[in-house]
Amino acid sequence: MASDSTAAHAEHAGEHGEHPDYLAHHFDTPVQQFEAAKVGVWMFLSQEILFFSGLFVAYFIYRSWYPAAFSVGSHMLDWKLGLLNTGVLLFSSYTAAQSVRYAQVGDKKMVGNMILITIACAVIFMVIKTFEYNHKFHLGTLPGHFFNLTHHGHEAVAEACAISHVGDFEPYHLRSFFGIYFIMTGVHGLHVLIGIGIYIWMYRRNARGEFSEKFFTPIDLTALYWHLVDLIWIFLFPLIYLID
Amino acid sequence: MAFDHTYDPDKNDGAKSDGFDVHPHVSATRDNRIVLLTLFALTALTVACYRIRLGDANLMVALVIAGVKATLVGTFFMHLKFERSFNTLVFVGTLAFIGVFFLFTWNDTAFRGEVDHRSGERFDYRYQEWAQGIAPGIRERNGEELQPVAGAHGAAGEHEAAAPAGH
Repeated sequence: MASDSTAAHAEHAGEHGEHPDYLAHHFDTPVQQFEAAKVGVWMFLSQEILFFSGLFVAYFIYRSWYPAAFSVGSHMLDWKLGLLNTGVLLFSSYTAAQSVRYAQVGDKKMVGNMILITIACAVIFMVIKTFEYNHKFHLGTLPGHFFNLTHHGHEAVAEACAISHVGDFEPYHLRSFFGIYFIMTGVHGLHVLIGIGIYIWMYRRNARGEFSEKFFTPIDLTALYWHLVDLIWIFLFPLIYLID
Repeated sequence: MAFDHTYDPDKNDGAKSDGFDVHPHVSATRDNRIVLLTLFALTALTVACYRIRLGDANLMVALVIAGVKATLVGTFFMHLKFERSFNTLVFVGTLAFIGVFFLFTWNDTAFRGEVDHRSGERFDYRYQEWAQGIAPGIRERNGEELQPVAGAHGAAGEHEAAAPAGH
């Protein structure tokens, strides 16, 4: 096995240790480099999931402790905006997957286009999120010590109670729901912002012609990160917006 | 095996390789579109289940559909189907440990009242009854204990019958 590899290496790279620009010196072959990068990014994504799992566990415990607060709080959100954001993010995941596909076949122009669409979707997502957060400030449904219902907030609570069929309700308990809402969507939104940054970087690298069908690893890894951001939202959407 | 750069066509379940360059699986645009449309359809299904108000089944149905969507994204968009199975092992192994994390925490928090009666009870406004399991301080506010309002609400299930058609 080792001799096969050595032969392939010598054939491609020459006996003087020449190798492609994209191949780092500490790797023998692009395959080895590619697969090391893949294992690395999957380890990173696993770490991300473990990090988010703490928030999800907190969510389930508080939901089991305060079911009425979660029901009322959820009905104070606009599920239509959540649905719109879900559609936008799913579509951006598709364009991210397509950017990898075009990178693999060496279509530089389409890689750039797909990255631009992905960035545009991410920006739309954050704009919608900003409108939603702004509405929370209007109602006073802010996390922790900042929770202080305004007149509009009290009206919204009464309306949500009617929809949830919750009778005598203590609005103070909404603090736990909106605390978790802001932390979970906030940390997720931070990941979206970071994703926008990485994709701008990838767009510039792609425009400089750094990628080819032989070297597309950064595009691949960035897309994997972006899909993870989408995965988290796939669970956040029903858990936050669609509580009966 | 993931760091082994040697090439054995019978054993390599990752990117196809001539031992030097990367020759990955290239997903067809058509396949990616089918996955996207399926994801949209499942999202619509989630919202439909919410709108018809499944009650207690709501959470489980939503989680199952989200799980299917996540599997689609992982399998096709994230190429797990076409990659070395070691990466899938890393990913699925992580999910298994989250299951351990969740079950042990739930085992603590959900049955506190039953295990330790001194830890008090909690009040469930939906069913208008004190439920077990939360520290007494949590049901106090401004030094005053919150009082449940008796008779404001029926037993579990009654509110479902009174549900309006939509919301």
